Amino acid sequence: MTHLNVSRRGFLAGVGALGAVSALGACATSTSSRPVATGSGKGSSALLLKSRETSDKSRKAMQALLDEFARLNPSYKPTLNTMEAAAFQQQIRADLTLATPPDVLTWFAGEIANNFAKQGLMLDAGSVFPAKGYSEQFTKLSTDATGKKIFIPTNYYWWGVFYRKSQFEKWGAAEPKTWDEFIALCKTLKGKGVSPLALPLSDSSWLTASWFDYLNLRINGAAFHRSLLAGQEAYTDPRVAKVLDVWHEVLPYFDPAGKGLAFQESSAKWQQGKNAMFLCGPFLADAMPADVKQDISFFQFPIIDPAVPVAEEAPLDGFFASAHSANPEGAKAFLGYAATPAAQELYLRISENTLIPANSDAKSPLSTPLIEKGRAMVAGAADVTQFFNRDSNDDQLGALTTALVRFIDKPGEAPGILEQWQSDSAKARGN
Amino acid sequence: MRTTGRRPWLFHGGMIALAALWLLPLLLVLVTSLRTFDDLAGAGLASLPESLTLDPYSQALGAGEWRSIVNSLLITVPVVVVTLVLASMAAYGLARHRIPFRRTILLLMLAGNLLPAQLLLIPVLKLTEQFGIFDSRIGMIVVLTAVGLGFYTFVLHGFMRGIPEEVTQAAKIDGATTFGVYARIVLPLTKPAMAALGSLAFTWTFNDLLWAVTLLRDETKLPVTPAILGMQGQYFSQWNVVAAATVIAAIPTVVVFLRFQRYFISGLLIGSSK
Repeated sequence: MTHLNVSRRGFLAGVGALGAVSALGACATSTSSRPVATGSGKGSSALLLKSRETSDKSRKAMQALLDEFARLNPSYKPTLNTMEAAAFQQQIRADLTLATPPDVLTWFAGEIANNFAKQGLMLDAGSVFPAKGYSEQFTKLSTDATGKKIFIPTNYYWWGVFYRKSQFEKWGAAEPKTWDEFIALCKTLKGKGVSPLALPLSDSSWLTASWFDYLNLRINGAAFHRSLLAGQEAYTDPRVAKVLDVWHEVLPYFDPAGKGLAFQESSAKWQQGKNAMFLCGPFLADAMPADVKQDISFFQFPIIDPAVPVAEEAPLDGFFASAHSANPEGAKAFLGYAATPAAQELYLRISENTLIPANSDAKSPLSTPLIEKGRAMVAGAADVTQFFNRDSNDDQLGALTTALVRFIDKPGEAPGILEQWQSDSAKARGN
Repeated sequence: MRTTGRRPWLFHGGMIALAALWLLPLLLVLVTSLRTFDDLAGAGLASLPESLTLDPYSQALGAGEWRSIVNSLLITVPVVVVTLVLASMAAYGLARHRIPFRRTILLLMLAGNLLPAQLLLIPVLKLTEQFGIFDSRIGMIVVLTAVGLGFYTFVLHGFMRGIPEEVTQAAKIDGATTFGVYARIVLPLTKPAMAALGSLAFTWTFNDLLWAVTLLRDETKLPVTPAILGMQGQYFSQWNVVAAATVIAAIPTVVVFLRFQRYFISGLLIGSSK
């Protein structure tokens, strides 16, 4: 009796609590657009830059950039706030709708930026976007659907198959140009007892996207790739099945231990020459000793169908300003400064990252043969894409990794996997 | 009960194996925190260390971990104190007084606790912004206190109902006020439960990451959990420094737990004999 009584009351109380909480939530969100006088006395001279560059040198470089900007524009007082990249990404949507959002933020070109722009969260930077210096592609990537310039690119990197020159020499290997040469090389290396390809999946299953992107770009071209990512084509399309078929040919050459390895462990294995090749960006060698950095090189992802125009992945990073910034003039002034060759060179000189300045008038301050090779490859490409999650979004990336990790496990089940992928992708798009 | 000679050995052997399994990751963190990065990068995590060094610890502290630990304590200590005071008062009121809808109130508090915190993140963020306590330690204290209060009240309520009614009535006959009974009779009797909940509250608050990354933005105000997160690079992390920072961050909670261990075990038995 009493037990029944309690559970009924409990149920009612629970419903009451749910109602109260959702009412609170509704009230809070409905009033959020009203400006509040809670700002910490932020005058129009203060300028907050929120950065997701947590490494020590990048932090220093970012601070140097702000110091130099403040020296040139003494009326502004910029401060730097750094947040770890994953938390940064989690916070950014909330940040942009705050009453006092950060004025300038680090971000990357692509679909998510376009989405922010669509929601009116990004400041129009057209007045400070340089008329020349940026390539047509980069200018297009910085422009939203309505033609507003909303993004200032500062640097980019590239993807390629990285190897160590000394190891290749030891094995008598040469850079393959075509897919057949690539497979032959994998076979030779495996014969020598080396695991040819690295692909760590334990914490970096997103790396599967690099293989998918490149195979799709090489087999079906950039136009199909874009419409596939935009949801205009389905993953059940025979052209996507072809991508998996081709990938299947090299699956035996991946390091079988890769499934259980973290990115950092796998890169260590690559550094020691236990894995020969790593499809990656130059950040692969970021934490490696100087003598190793001298020793690394890469080759372009092999050509599969010569009839398909060559596209490369060149993820573009930069800054944008929040539309609700309390100091839009200052934010724009900073964006204008960040677009200059001097600013981009300053940042790269101190951060020592293997990145290429986005402004084509800027020189790489720490130019190496590796960087020049990367720059030449991107410049020679007929088309440039960003990366799977930059060209779509993180939900789509989730659908991709689920599908591809399963495919690596059970390549025979490709048709079922593609169907599941299509349904996951559509579901993620529906949200 | 039959005791053969082999049973205890099996039991102890199994327990030793389990304990080793339990301690292995902790040991790995400890060893990692004492190695150099080049050693780790060259030989991998699962290798024997070449040499041991305390450098990662000084590096971690040098990277601003002191400040973040102070922040953590500035948030945690007030949260624990305020939570226990408020929860014990509320529990006493609900357990010993005929407050209308007392059971509904209690269940309401508990129901709030059963909601996943993720559901509340955005509304609470907007609320703190409206009240002007967003991105401040005060805001963190208020929110973390409010979030935990329901659960602590519920547990203390159960405990206080177990205190014999005669004791409080005797005090009242002797002329104690309601508050007097609370302060002089109920509180001392609730000490074991309070100590157990206090150490739990300390651990939970100290280890909180979700609310910290939601409600705080300024690097200089971040508690230790997001600060350690910030030590990881996007692609590469100084494993040894992160491990050292983790070990340092574990010290306060371990100290609190050891100090209140006795109460914690007896506190876990709350309500078990009912």
